[in-house]
Amino acid sequence: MKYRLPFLDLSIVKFLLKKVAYLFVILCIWQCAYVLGGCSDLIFPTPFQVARFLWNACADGTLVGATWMTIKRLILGYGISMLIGIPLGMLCSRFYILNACIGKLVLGLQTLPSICWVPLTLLWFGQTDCAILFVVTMGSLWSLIASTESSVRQIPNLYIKAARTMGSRGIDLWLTVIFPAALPFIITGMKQSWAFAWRSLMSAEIYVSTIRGLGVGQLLHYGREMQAMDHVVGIILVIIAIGFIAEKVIFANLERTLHKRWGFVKSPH
Amino acid sequence: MTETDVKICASHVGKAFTRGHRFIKVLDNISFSVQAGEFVAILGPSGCGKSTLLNMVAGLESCEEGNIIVNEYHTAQPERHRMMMFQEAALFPWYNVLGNVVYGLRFKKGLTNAERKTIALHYLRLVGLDHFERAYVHELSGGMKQRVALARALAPNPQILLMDEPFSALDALTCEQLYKDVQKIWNMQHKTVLLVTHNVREAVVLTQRVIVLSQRPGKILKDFPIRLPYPRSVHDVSVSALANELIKVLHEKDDADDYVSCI
Repeated sequence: MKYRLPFLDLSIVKFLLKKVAYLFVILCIWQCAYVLGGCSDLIFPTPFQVARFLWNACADGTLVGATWMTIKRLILGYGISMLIGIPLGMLCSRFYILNACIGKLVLGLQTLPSICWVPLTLLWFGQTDCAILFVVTMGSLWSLIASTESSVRQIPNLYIKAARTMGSRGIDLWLTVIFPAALPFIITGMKQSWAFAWRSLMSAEIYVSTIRGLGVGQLLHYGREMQAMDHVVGIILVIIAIGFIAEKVIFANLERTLHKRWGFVKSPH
Repeated sequence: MTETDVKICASHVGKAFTRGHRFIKVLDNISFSVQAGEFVAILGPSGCGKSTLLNMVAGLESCEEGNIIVNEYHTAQPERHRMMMFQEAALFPWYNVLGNVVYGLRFKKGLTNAERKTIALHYLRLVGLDHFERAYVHELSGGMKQRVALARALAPNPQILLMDEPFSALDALTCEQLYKDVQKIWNMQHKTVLLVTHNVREAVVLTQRVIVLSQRPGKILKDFPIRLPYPRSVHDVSVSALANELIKVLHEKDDADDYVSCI
């Protein structure tokens, strides 16, 4: 007779067990590499050292505080670039003259690695939070403008035709049809520009050592200065985790839900 | 009939596109008129410009030669007294079913939101979709989507309904059911309906008059009255007989082999 847990879905248990097994294998390889490699643990920390660092950093609150500070900066900086980028991208798709004026500029600035803004921002703002926000915004804004502009072009013309026969015009057409129709494409662009914002934030935090509040980037930097390798590797893991949660969990789910509801399996052309 | 009973009047309508260096004439000297309350089909092979003609009646495309007069006005802009259904339902996935039907009512003046909702629910019941008002578009089948589109087009109580091959993407069984429902609704409301189709039987089953267009450039081959009593079914012998006659009309002028009859 097959044994069944009465209230647990077995497939979820299986899934979790698999993940734990993978993780265990990777940690084993890491530990083996340490044992076989013969490096000093000042250069190559063991998983246990890193785990101990993470535990202590969580316990004394520095890691949680730094993560929260970083997320706040990310939300603020990326929020500014969404507030500017999405409306500007939509205006660009509507007004040819605007697109002709700033289109090339957007393309050019988009290719500029965001760390190149750091020298400029340090001279303008000094070692402040503003400097960090500026780098994050500059790092993500241009890609957001470009992707929003192309999103609006991708929407099926049929929606606009249908809305026009029902009497929608001008600003109403934009708000009730064009923007929502473009939303799944805009989300895809947002996912991409979020990745830019995240990378920009990390470079900014490493270079801009503001006194007001430490972010994870600054923790990483101080880990190097103290030559604490377990510290550095631990923070890298935290940075990976934040990026993973935002990109694979939040954005990917949002994107999937919208694409499903908007019916992109069968495109309405 | 007096002059005012003419709802749609097209005279000497022509349209051409330039594609690259080529100049393609799609419609050539089309003249017809539709009376109030009449159900008329425009039948023609693919690419004969019949959808373009309908878009021009809707005011979505401009009229280059000749003119189209709807309700004694030139058709420069879409207006709410003529609503349109498309081959794809063109429902907005960011609203639910009710939201889609209400969308067409938003610009009707003098209605409260509660009244708009009541009207929308009434039309959803009319097309047989009561209890689906909270469903989202991706949860509906193709036939149900077209029913919502029909409810959305009827809800603002337009004088004219324009249908651009609304059944061509549906399976045969769904089509049959929708033919029945459309006949029922038309018999209740007697709106002026202009249906564009390449399906000969569909035209015969639904309409009172079939305007047959030729291959591109589309010209009127024949204006063919269908005097069969409603309700009709695609399986009626009389429908088949008339459909065969219409196919002969289509083939008389049509030597090209690429036309596949869609019976």
